[in-house]
Amino acid sequence: MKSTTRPSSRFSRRSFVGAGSLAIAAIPAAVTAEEVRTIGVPRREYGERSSFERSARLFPQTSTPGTGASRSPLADQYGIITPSSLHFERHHSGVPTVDPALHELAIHGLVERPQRFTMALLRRLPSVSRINFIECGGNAGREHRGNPGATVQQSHGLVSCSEWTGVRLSTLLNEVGLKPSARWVLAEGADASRHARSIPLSKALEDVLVVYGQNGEALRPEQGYPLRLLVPGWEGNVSVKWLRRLHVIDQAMMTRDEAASYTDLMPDGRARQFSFEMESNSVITSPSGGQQLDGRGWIEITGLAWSGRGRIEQVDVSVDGGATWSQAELQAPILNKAFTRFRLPWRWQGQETVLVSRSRDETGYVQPTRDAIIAARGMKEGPDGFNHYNGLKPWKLARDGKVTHV
Amino acid sequence: MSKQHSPWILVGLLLAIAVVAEDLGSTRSDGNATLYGVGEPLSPEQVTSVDISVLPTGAGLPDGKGSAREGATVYATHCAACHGDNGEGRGDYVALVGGRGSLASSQPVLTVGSYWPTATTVFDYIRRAMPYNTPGILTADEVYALTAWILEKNAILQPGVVLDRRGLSAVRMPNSDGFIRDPRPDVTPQAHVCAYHSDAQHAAVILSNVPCGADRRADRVDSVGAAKRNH
Repeated sequence: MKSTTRPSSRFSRRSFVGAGSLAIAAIPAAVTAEEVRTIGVPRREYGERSSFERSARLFPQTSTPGTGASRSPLADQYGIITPSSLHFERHHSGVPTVDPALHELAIHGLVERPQRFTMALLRRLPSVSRINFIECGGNAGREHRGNPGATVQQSHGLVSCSEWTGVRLSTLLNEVGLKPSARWVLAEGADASRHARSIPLSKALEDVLVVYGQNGEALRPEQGYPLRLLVPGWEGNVSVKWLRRLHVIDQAMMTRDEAASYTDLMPDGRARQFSFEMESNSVITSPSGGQQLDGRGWIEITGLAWSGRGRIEQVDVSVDGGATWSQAELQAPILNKAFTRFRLPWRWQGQETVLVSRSRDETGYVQPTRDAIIAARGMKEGPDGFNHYNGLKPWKLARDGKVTHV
Repeated sequence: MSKQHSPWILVGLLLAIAVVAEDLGSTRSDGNATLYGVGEPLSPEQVTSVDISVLPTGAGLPDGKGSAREGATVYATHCAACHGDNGEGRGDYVALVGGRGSLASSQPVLTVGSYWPTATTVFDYIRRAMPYNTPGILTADEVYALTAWILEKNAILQPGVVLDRRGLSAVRMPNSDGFIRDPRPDVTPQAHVCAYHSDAQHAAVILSNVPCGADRRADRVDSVGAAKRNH
């Protein structure tokens, strides 16, 4: 398969040779005794990807460069872990430079023993590693609006999945001792805009982590270095980055991002608030918009499924626009609130058709169509557009092998 | 869709797994969590130095006061370049004023005045995040004054009112009753896709939500290895 987004396939053999003495990838038809080889580059302290790889995050230029999002190239991702360097970003006031030697986490409010923790002190506490996705509440909101993304990066690129390492929030709250009146925890970042969200105590004690590690190394600066909250399965906005303060309170703080933004405006003019969970979703990443099939024959249809309510139970794929469905194979491990990779080998006969996937999670919830979502929620945008959209994403496959959004 | 399994067996299994997982994942022994005691005490003074949040009750509001008249000067200096001379918004920069009563209409205008449920949020957000390029530059008096200016422009505050901790805590926003709790899952689980066309030209029609009695399985799909989980 040829792809306009998978750079490795953009390079012909000719360009390999043209890359000069460093390129050893081109295999001659027959190795001759006269061939002189050159040695490769030396070791290096911190690894870089091959110079042939071009996969990159995508973002438009904005009037306020510190505010905005970059989208993860999901079509280029193998397996379920998003490389830290390609994890989607969303910042409200730029990426701060935080010195870990000076950074502290303060915990106060309705607690018996207000305390502060340096990074060194946090590392003394029992740690845990867990694979979870983070999805921006606004991911795929443009699909709701009826302005579908041309590529899976544009439509669904505000979700990524990493292995996170840190301390359970329940451990920290036990250290400071909760007072009986404690109901919510406000988390606040050290970015310029002091981004803040309130999280119900039940969730805080259930599975929230305070993390310093991502995919085997320290968090990337744009992911909250040196410390962030990880709220599994919930809209990404609550996983506060550059975490500096936890304020235990008896009611939600009603910060701007929970009182106005990330609310869903309904047709009657009322708005839904505290819609935290990201519902079961899936998208075919290959073949997907912008890609090109080389010709008829066997291909692998593959994609990602995830649910903020638990594990993925089943993914069905239709290769005829929803007329019939086939159960895709799910790649183990199938983890709680994590990406699940699905696959379905398929023999394309050259016909024009529509490919679409549909997930079901362990609660029995089935990923709905766009029409079903609109029937339930209407077409009114909230202050920051549409949030919490998880409709089916169909891709049209043309006779010439070109894949576009429907 | 796992029709061969009784849902109760599945529920029981999940519960058992959850119990085991909880047991493995817990730091607790005999019901009590271990206290590690590694944190440093945080003094009341240190709390004050880091705590900038304001509750809807007004708790957390600092000393100080300001009027809309004073706020007009602060606004012109720090805010108007982005939000417009009268809070009407400009391009990417949101409107702060107007839109009262528009939420149920076909053209809702979402502003602080028409949408935000709590007045304390205005103070909290300005102090937290504004002005965009230099948050933290404003004094408490200036934040009170700006809050008064925005509320007065939205006809929420009577002209001439000097806003302080007590006054701001008492402000009731027009849309304070406009929010409901998340009712999801709100899209019915039987929302299986049923087709009545199978050509790509009608894809949009095909993918519309037509509930169907039975989940139609593929009877002829060129695939191998399907319907099998790779555990």
